[in-house]
Formats: sequence, C-alpha cells, structure tokens
Amino acid sequence: MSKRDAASEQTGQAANNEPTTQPTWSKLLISALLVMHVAAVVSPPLAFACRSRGGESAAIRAVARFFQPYTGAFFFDHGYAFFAPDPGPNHLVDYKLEFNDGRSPIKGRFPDLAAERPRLLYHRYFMLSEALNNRFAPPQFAPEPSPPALTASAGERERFAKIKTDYEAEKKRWQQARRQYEAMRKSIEEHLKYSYGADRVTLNRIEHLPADPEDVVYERKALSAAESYREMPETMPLGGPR
Amino acid sequence: MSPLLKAVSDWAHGVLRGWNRFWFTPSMPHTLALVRICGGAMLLYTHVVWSLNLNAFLGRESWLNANTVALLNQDAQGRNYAWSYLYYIDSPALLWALHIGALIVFAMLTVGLFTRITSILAWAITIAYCNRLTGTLFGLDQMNAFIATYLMLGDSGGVWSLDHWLASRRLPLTTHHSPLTCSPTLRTNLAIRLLQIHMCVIYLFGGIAKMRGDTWWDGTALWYAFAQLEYQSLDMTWLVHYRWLLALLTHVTVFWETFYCFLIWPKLTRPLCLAMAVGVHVGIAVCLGMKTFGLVMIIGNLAFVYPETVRDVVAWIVRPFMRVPGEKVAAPPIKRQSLAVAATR
Repeated sequence: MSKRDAASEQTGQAANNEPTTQPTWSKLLISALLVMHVAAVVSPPLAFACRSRGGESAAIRAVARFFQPYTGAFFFDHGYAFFAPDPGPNHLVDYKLEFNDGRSPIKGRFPDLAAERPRLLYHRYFMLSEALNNRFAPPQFAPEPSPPALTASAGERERFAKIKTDYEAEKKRWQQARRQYEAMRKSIEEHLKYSYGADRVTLNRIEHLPADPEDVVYERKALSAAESYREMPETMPLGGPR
Repeated sequence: MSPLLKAVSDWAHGVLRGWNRFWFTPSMPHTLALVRICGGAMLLYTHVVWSLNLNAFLGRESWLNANTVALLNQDAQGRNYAWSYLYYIDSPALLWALHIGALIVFAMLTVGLFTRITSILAWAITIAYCNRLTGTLFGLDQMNAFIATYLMLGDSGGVWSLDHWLASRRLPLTTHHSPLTCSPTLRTNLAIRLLQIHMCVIYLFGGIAKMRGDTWWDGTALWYAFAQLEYQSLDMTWLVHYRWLLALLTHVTVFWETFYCFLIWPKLTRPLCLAMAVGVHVGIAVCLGMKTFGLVMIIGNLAFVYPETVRDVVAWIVRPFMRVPGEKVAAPPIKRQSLAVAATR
C-alpha cells in the first residue's frame, strides 16, 4: 500500500462514488489506450470467427494483423472456441520404440491417464497429442491450376491470374504448416528416443470417435469400443486451395 | 438548436457521462484482491504441476524443443511475437533455479507481498511459460495469462495482503487505523472493468463458435462432450436415456454463453448469469476432468461481484475462525458499479 493510500485511511476518507477529477487530457489518453486494448483483445477471436471454407474476411484479417504484435506478445491471440463448432473426436499418439542392442520394442500411447497424474499433467499430454493432429499438413500440395486456353477472353485470363495468386499464397501457407508439422513430429520423436535411449521410433496419430447416442442405447456400444479408434493417414488428403 | 441536434447532443452527453462513470470511478480493492488470491494460487498450482516434468516440457530435449516452438509460433510471413526467456535456457540447473524463482513469485503474489513488483513479475513469467509451451496449452493458460495481466494493472494488494498488513503495522498507534479499511483507486477499477470485458469477449466468441456447429442446434452437443472418454472424469452417459434433458442443457449452455455479455450487466440478471457460470464450470470441472479450467473460469467471473459483497462474504466466512481486528469500524461505503445503472443515470 502506498503512503498516499495510508494517508487517506488516516484521514478517514470515504470511498468516492463519483468519477475521478483527473485532467481531461489524462482521461482522453487512458480512454484511447482502453479502446486500443479492447479492440486488440477482440480482434483474434473475431478473425477466427470470420473464417470459412471460402476464406477469411479481408477487413477483419487486416485488423487482426495490425494488432498481431500486441496480441502475440501478451498471449491474447486465441479464438476461445471451446468444444466448438462441435465436440469432435479426440486424438492420441501411439509410439513404438526399437533398439539396436536387442531389447524388445516398447509400445506406448499418450495421453495416458494411468501414468500421467495429476489430471492437469495428463491434460498437458492430451493437448500435445491434439496439437500434433491439429498441425497436420499433408506432404504434397495440389497441382497448379491449368492456364486458360489461348482463345480465352481477357476476363477469363484475369480470373486465372487471381486464381494463380491465391494458389501461390495458399501454397506458401501450406509450406509453413508442413514445416511446422514435420518439426513438431521430429521433436516428439527425438524426445522419445532421448528418454528411452531408443534407436528408432514410429509415431501414429490415432483418432477416437465419440459414440453416437443411438449406438449406445440400441447396441450397448462402449465408449472404448475398438472400432471407435482409427489410425490417421499421413498422406491424404492433398493440401490445396480452399 | 433544432430538436434533432438536441437529441443527438443529449445522447452524446449521456454516452460521455456513462463512459466517464464506467471507467473513471475509483473502485475498492476487495474484488481484485480476491481474484489475486485465487488467481495467484491457480498460477502457483499450474506451475507446480510443470515441475513434475520440467525437463520433459522445457528442457533442451523436451517434447517440443525451443526451436520447434519458435517455428510453431511463427506466422506465414515468419514473424514471431511470442517472446520468452525460456527459449534460451539449455542448462537444467538454470532452468530449475528460474522455475523455483517463478514459484516463489507466484506464492508472493498470492499472499500479497511486494504486490506491485510480484504482479509484474508474475505476468512476465506467465506469458514466458505460455509462449514457450505452445502445443501443450488449453483454456486454463489463456485465463491465467489474462488474469495475470489485469492483476498487474490494478491495486490487487490493496487489502487482504501482507503489504496491507505490514503498512497497517507501520502506522502510528494513535491513529484509528483498521486493517479492514482501504482506499478506492482508479487503477483497480480499470483492472476490474478490463477483466469484465475480457470475460464477455471470451463467452461471446465461445457462443458464436458453438453456433456454427450442428450439434449445438440439434441438442446433442452435450452428449458428445460427455461421450469423450479422454475428457471424462464422471460418467454422465446415463443421460442418453433422457435426451430431452441433454438437449435442454445444450441449448441453455449455448444461449447463456452467447448472451452472457448482455445479461451480466443489469442488476436483475447478473446474479442469475453468475449462478449459471458457476453451474456450467463446476459441471466442466466435475464431469469433463478439467477442475483447473472450471475453477479459473469461476475466478474470472468473480470480477462481476461487487467489492462490498466480496468484503461482506469474506468477513462472514472468516468470522467463526478469527476475531477480525477493527470489526466494529464502519467500512466506507462502496459504490455498486453496473453499466446498466450508469446507462440509466
């Protein structure tokens, strides 16, 4: 507590129910900072909400980019889409470790509720497996769009130029996403090799589909039924423009 | 002046008065102090849990090493604003020393010792951990980060803190000082207001995102949440026999989440909105295995509880356990702050 606060207590100053009588310039400055901060806080989830399969809102993207240094530095760049748009399947990672010295291979899976305690630690592993799946980008990109025929009109050629520009931008995003996915996968593999002293490691992304209510009611299907787990392919589908 | 100009002028003056009252009315520190105690304890717990696997998550050979995380934090243009000193720590001994230091800072923030300094340090440490630990984070970390940000801004140590207690001991005995008394400050109000608005943003966009999904409309979303074995901590699948109840809970959840940002301000609906928040987040904590996330969301919702209510409830809770010094001293009145009230004045 500051000396001024202590002094105000000594004088028995009551809580003031009225706005402060600060100079106008001070209020204007604070107000401007508040508006900028609130706009920055809103911009990442707004940009996230304004995305669809057809692309993203150019206006909102520009606003989000403007605030990106601030939201990135303050860790405000989130979409807040908890269990949205739909509570979907969960993702796990299976691994197999092999050794050159004759030891038997070790198989494991994360997250593993039995091994990772307390629950928050388990959740960290769960998010790691989810993140690996979310970052997946296919190894090949879609082929370049075919140019229009020589007899194409000027409008068709202009449209192709736009498609080509979008294609190149999308390809650049895919290259970045693929680099990130490969780096993430490699880092996890290296960690497992280091932790167990293994020579080779194989990772498989697993998707666990939630049971439909009808399957549970009429077929007594268990949430852990073997058929609800499936291995995720590393090759398909091809990346490409949306 | 024409009637139209007068109407516009009256409206503009009303907006300015409302803005002035909303942002620039000093606020007592009780609510922010409670957020500090609960939020600080959550920060401490969150980072204690990192200690269990510190090198596996932050060491040189971690699950996601520093270079990988730096790449993950880059956008398509190669820009990375997610700063962290933890990118540069290779030595396990140094990592542990910094980590223990971080735990001490969080503990000091929780008890309110050197709060001005520790709140800034706690913010920097929290953001540094979040930025370094990309790929292992979830809603808890987002909430931790923004609570730490606003604790740094306000006078969170203004009451119920070691700072306040030490300051009261330093005062001359002749003064009628009570540890229960404290002063309203502008920066506390700014912190609380920003916390409130941030909560509204989180719920609004959480609701909008849900509205894009089919299952939130056809009433099956809650079933699919309960049917996720990896989240489940309490088996609620028996609700499948009460499909109408699942659907009702689904619709109520998405309605409440979307309209939270409107319903939380009027005095009439604020308690109902907060009760709903407690219900939803206790449900998430108990049924979906995210106790920390459920709790931290409730801590965020504390921002909407009036300081006088917080002060009275805390006094009522602690009264059986201790004689509160200065209990008979009348505490200064605290203004109930509500945007709805401000708007109607």
